[in-house]
Amino acid sequence: MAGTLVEQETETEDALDVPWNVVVHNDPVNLMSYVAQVFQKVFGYSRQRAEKHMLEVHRHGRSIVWTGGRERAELYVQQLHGWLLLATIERTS
Amino acid sequence: MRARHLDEDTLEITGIGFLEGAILWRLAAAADPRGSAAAEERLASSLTGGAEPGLDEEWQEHVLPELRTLFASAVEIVRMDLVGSWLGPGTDATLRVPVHHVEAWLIALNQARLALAARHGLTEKTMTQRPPEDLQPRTLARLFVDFFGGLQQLLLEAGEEPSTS
Repeated sequence: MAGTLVEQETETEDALDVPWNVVVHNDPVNLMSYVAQVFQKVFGYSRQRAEKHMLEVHRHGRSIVWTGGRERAELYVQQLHGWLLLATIERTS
Repeated sequence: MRARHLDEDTLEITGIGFLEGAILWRLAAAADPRGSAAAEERLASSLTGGAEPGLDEEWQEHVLPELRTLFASAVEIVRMDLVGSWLGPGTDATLRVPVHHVEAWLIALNQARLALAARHGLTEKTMTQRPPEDLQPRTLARLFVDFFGGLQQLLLEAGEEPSTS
């Protein structure tokens, strides 16, 4: 998708793994401010970066919020599900 | 309603009217997905959305129980805060929430909103329309979802403000 923000993991241990995307999907119920704050808490993103991803979810239905090794991707999805965001992992194409 | 830092450790929500208080006391029931397959499904998302069945099965077996425990714990924290710190029952009640409980409140409120929306089939379209003026359960569910969302927004905004103490 043009303009899609991709957060690239650079650590060596993850570079050896097949990359997976963490994708957050749109949900009509979650507050936009809540989603942005969850991105800040889970990924440590700046407010500006978190809001860019939140708006991408809102406008395009999904946003790739992180890319890297599967194990860490699953941990991120577990945290996102803990905040009740709709999130999945997918293999990078 | 207004939320402010009472001190470094406590948020105070004031101006909770009689009807708002009545809705708030129903939060735990609203957050319970049992009896609705749609609500249960929404609170138990899969890892890959069906693209990788093996991974989704492992997720269901190992991770979902932990998440259910987290959700139940958040609702229980809210319930205990309501029981333990509800001041001035009746009109214009005040609620004091320990700052370290705010995350549990945000999760419990979100759980209630999502479960209600799924249970009553609230869509993006219905969420943005003016609520109909009738007494159908779906209309009341929308009212609850909006109220819980308003309270979430208050807590989020209060969390961004520096403590006044």
